[in-house]
Amino acid sequence: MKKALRNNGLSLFFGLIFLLALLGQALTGHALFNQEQVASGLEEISLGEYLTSSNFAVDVSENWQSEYLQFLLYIFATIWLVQKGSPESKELNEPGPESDKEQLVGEYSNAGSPKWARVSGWRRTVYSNSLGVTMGLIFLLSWLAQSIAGSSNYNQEQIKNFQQPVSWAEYIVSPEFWNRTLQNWQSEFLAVGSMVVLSIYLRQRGSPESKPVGSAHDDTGTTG
Amino acid sequence: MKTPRGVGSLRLGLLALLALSGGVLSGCAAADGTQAAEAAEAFHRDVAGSNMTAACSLLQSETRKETARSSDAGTCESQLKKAKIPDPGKLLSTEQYGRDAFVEFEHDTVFLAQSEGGWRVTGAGCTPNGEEAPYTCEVGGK
Repeated sequence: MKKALRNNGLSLFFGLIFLLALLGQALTGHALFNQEQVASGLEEISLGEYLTSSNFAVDVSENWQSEYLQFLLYIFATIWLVQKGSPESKELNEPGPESDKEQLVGEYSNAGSPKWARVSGWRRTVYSNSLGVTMGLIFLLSWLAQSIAGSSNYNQEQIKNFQQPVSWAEYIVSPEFWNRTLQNWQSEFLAVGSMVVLSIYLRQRGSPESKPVGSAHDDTGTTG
Repeated sequence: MKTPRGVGSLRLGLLALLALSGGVLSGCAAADGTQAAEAAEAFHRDVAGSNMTAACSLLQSETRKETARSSDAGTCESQLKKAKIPDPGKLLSTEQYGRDAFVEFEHDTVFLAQSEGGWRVTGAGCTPNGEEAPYTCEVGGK
């Protein structure tokens, strides 16, 4: 039990703080929503109603899509683009999908390799791209959820303000949709970009996200 | 290259995503607006039949108070009698989003909000003022 906790510490820690943050968002979002209802002379709603509302769904999904996009881009960009001195980058002479030998697939696989890495054909192709494809799929689903929930939430505001609601097709080209989307994207791109650059010159002892403290600034692709 | 998230959180995230998508889709499926349209039609029926007390009871509580305040006689009923609420004609469309609804008739547009007692009118006798501007309403509205 203790060993299982230790061996899965990273995923458990992030899983737990994710749930706590989501709970906090739900409770504060509910309180904020009801403040606005009262201000508009409308009735307050229960927490259950809030959790199934488009208001909550759009706030959650707009953040999710941008996080998954961030990782999706990072996964694919780092195949081809390198950054001298960054532990987040591959070695400068390794851009591209690399050889079967380096990737331990087919005849170069070993006893511990996953089955689909050992076989050839479509299964190996699928498995070779499964991380990127899954992240991409979650990104697209979250973004779709944002657009559906966002259009419903936007139309609620429109009606509360005695304005005409818009269709989903109108909503996805509206300033509201793109503003919600881009304000999340810019922060993700900044965070990734600064991590790539700062990790060239700065260190965090013991973290695999950093180079070893004594590594030279131009050491690329080493982790501590 | 490493990413700081683990498989466990990904699995949790996937479950939550499914729950979220389910919530979004079920919310859309349930929102056909029939009850909101019925409330808008009942309001118009009461106004046409000069049953102003019944019509006032279909106004959202703040709208009812506001309507009474704007009347010389100080009652919602007297203000409804004075208001130029058109004969709506045929029901054209209803759009419901969460607890808000927009009902269009041939000659009128009605705004509604859901309350514990059912759908209540927040604006009736409303006419558009161009694409982005709020409607002007005979009863309720801005």
